[in-house]
Amino acid sequence: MVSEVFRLHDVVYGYPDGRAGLSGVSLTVRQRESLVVLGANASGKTTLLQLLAGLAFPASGRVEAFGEPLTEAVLREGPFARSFRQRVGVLFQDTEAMLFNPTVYDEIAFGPLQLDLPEEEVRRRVDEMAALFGLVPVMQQPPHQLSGGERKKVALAAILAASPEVLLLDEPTSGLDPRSQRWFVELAGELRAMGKTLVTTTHDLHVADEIGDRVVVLDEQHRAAADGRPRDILTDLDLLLSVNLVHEHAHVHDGIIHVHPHSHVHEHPHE
Amino acid sequence: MLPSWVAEGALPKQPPRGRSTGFVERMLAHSARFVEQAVFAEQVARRPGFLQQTDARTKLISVVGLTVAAAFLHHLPPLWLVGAFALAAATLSRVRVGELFNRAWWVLPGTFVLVAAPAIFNVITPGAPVLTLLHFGEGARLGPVRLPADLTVTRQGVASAGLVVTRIWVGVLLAVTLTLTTRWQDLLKAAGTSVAAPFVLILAMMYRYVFVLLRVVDEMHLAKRARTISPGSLAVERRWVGSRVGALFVRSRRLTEQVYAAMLARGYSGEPKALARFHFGWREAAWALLCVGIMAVALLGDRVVLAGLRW
Repeated sequence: MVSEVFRLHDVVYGYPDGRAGLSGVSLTVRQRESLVVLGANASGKTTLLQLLAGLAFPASGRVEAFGEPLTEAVLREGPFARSFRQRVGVLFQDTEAMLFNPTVYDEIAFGPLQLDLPEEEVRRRVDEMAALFGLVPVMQQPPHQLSGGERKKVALAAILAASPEVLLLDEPTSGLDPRSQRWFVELAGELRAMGKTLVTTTHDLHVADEIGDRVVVLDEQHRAAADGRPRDILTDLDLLLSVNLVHEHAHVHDGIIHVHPHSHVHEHPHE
Repeated sequence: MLPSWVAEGALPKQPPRGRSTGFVERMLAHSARFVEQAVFAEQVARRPGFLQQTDARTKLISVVGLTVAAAFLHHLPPLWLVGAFALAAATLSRVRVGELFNRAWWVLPGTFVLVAAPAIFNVITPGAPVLTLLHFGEGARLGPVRLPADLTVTRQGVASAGLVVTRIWVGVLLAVTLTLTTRWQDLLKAAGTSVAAPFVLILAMMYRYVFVLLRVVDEMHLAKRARTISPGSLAVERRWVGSRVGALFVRSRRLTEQVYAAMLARGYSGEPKALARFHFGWREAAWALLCVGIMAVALLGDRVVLAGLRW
């Protein structure tokens, strides 16, 4: 039996300035699946991830994690709060905020230290992560001296060092060059093979296609517009057009100007 | 469809008359220098010198010990001994004398003017006059304050001021030697073993994010320069700086919230935990013994040998 990791029921979230973040979103995330949340800018992807991470709480509706209601009160202290933080790792979109330690070494060690692991184990994990992510030459450097790609690698290594069951990844490929994007896709594949649950937000259709078992699409009204297999979602050009994930593209073929939805994932029909 | 004037290009504009707006440039130059100095300090701390390879905690304790010992010294020669020791240790650690003094000189004028200079006069330190500056005459008063007949520089005053300045200078020399040969994060960790861990965590994060915010300032300025055709008036520049200070404040507040969220997400529960990377080997033992030796010689010399002599 496949158990649920997260369940959202009719969740509404609004920002303090009155803007809507999410409007009545319901969805489940199952164990060991790789769910991709697709949406245009400001569709509510990051808000959704923050709700799953227990860093924001809905105005109405219910969020459950591992069968327990995820509320501010249960996350304040107690065994559930501790096990939740242990089981769920979050990659923030802004790695500058996420990497708050003085050196890369300390950054990777931070998570394992919070788990009260023995010092030798912490060091072993840090060393292994450094070798795996090619970070050995920069281990004593402060994060602000690293490139964007390196920072993303450090952030991922820092999360994985705590070995969470579930990874919430907010725009993991944004700002990465093509080689680093490929590297991330391969890493996501390895994590899936290891049985980790992944929830990835992106507006990159390539990434959704390559790493997702399932895709949820958020529209510009902050609602879940679709939920299905990547092939079905990514070939539904009308859907992608309506949620602003592809655009109308005008160009000339054989002297005839024509317009059609344009994405870079699949072949598009030329009539 | 783009409007047609986009194709026309911009007409050259005469720069308006106004006062120099160099203070923005100066402010940014200062921030750039801060980053430069921090990077330079890290470079010195990475050199393969004696102190750089010595454990930070041992260094911190020994430097605090030497500074406290210096505070108890009442004669100049033992203070010179401690200062010379700091200088020798820095030189052995591949810190050039120029680099050391470059970071330490600024303390001298301040200490001299604020602390030492008043002490040389007979008003503060009575004693044998070596130089008479003013003659007030017997019974002169300044309001309720009774003035001496003469304003003189006294021998005891000069000795006392010299002692204070030397003591502070030696302390600064020791502190600069420590900070130049120890990386900031190691120093903070060493401090974390003796002062409250949350305080150290806050300091470490402040240091970490100063660079982020300085980069934001630099980017704002570059973006403005890239779009500035002619410099604005001083008032315009002032308004711009004011608005950017506000924007930076908002940004730093947002960053604070994000950092705290990231800490929570990674299991932080209010209790700072850090890996202790301290060791005590032959190098630390040798350094500690050397420091204890210097302290003992300085204190014994000060209290036993020089106590009977007049300086």
